[in-house]
Amino acid sequence: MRSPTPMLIIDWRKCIGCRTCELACAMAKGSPEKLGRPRIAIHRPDDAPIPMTCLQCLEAACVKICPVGALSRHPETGAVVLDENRCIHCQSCVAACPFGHISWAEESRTPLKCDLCDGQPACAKFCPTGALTYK
Amino acid sequence: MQLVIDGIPCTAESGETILQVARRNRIDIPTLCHHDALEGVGACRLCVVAVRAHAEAVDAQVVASCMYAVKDGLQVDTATPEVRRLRQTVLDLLAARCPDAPEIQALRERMGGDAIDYAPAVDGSKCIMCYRCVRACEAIGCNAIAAVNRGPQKEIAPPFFDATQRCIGCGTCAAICPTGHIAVTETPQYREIWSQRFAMAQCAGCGAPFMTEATREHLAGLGKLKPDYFTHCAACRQRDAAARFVRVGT
Ligand code: FES
Repeated sequence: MRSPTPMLIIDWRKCIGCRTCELACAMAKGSPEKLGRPRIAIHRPDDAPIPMTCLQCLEAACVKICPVGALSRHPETGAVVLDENRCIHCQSCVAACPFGHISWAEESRTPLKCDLCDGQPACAKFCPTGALTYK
Repeated sequence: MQLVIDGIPCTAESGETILQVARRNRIDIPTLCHHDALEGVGACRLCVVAVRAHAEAVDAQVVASCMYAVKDGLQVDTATPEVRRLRQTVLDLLAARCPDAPEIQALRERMGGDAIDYAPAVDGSKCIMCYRCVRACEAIGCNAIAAVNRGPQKEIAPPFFDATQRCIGCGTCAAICPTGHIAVTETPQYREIWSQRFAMAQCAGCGAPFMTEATREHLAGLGKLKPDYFTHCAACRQRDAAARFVRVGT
């Protein structure tokens, strides 16, 4: 079934491990003064670089485990997004994601995950080789 | 339905609170105990506003906006002199009760009213009795803490101030506390909270402590996800997933 919303597609064979996606994400999630914490990371199992970030699972473990419904699917972008005003900081989502795509920011006591930049993911925009595309 | 807040006409659904409608319309009302995901308790009274039943009504009533359900035609004023004075009193009393809570001082400065400095409590704690911790604990399904005693002696604690099976040491109460009142001590081996010690679960991959054993049992016991979801820390799970993806693709 074709997803009704665009998807972030990771074609790791095209990844050259330049980490531009990490930087683009850090800039998108930060302020002009300070870089944010990237929601994407390049891993190198057997030396082959592969970008890892939230896949916006249709049946998402994080959504299932959240006790207060703070995580939900954005109707337009299809991303699983966090309502920070609803979050009670229990870290259940961090524990639940089977791919480890949600990290914890101790300073702000909030879970960090990819929200597809409201439909304009910076990582895909800046990826020089097309390993990350959004379509 | 329609109501007016600070002269701005607002549309609302029945069952919504004044605070919800105000925030949606970017009208600022200060709050301390309110939390979007937790049931309202109206504990702090910082969110008070003046309401009149309709535009011609002269009598105003002061209500807690986080609890008050909207009615059609309601006229709301979020900053009348009386409302400001009541908020100031709340903050002045809290400042005396919790002299070490910088959050209260910051709010007082933001309000910019004529503050009265009451004699600070000698054994003052940082607890402002907002019940966020109690309600979050309930939302998680543990119900390990509640208010005990009455009046100035009232405080939040586990039953009989003692270790309890209900507490899983997850630390959510401490994380949601607006003033940092709830103490947590953490070592690689254990976490101590509410004077109770909890063994940390070690990640099966890297050995790092990543949650308490009791929290892991609680999450696995919910039955929402398979227990083997909770064996590795997030960093190890991402690393393992990367290796799996590359293997599948070659
Ligand atoms: S925010 Fe309404 S009473 Fe505390």
